[in-house]
Amino acid sequence: MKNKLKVLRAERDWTQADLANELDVSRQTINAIEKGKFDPSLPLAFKAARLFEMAIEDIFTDVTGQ
Amino acid sequence: MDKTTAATGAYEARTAKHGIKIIIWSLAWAGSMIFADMAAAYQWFPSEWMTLLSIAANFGTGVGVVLAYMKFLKDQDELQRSIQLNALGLAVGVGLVGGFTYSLLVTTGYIVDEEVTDMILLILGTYMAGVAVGQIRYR
Repeated sequence: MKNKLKVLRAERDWTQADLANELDVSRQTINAIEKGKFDPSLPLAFKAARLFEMAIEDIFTDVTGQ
Repeated sequence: MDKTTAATGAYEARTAKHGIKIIIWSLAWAGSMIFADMAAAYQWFPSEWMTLLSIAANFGTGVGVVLAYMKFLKDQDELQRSIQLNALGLAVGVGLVGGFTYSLLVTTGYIVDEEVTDMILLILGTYMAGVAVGQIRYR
């Protein structure tokens, strides 16, 4: 799954630790999601969407089966 | 976003608290085991019920370790829970397969001096290796 977390984070001048704290996860989780090594659960994806005030599909893109 | 809030690291703080609790319970468990073992070896207790009480205390602190660890797991984020689950699955599998293999080796005489601690160390070592591999994989 692709995502725009790094871009959205950079636009707000947030570190990975800042974003991790906002989403109440570890910095390692944010790093893994940004690098595409780990897909977030639906609740976490919704949390990110609410944080950035965007739709989930505008942040996360499912590329499986393409 | 408030930088003060960001600096708090609420998740890390909770994880550290859980870690401290696990360490405290583990030390209590190890200490009670050493005490019960030495008490039996040097016959410190005048009566049998005191020996049983020391064993019960060891068991109780062991339950404390398990409960502290379960609370730690519940509070982990999804990535850490995935890493822990994989490591635990690997440790259980190795423990089961290794345990039966060990038992066969004892039965067939290839291992003469059987030690329960061998299996405990195998399971623990496998779990720790599993966690380490998981952490490196998602670095």
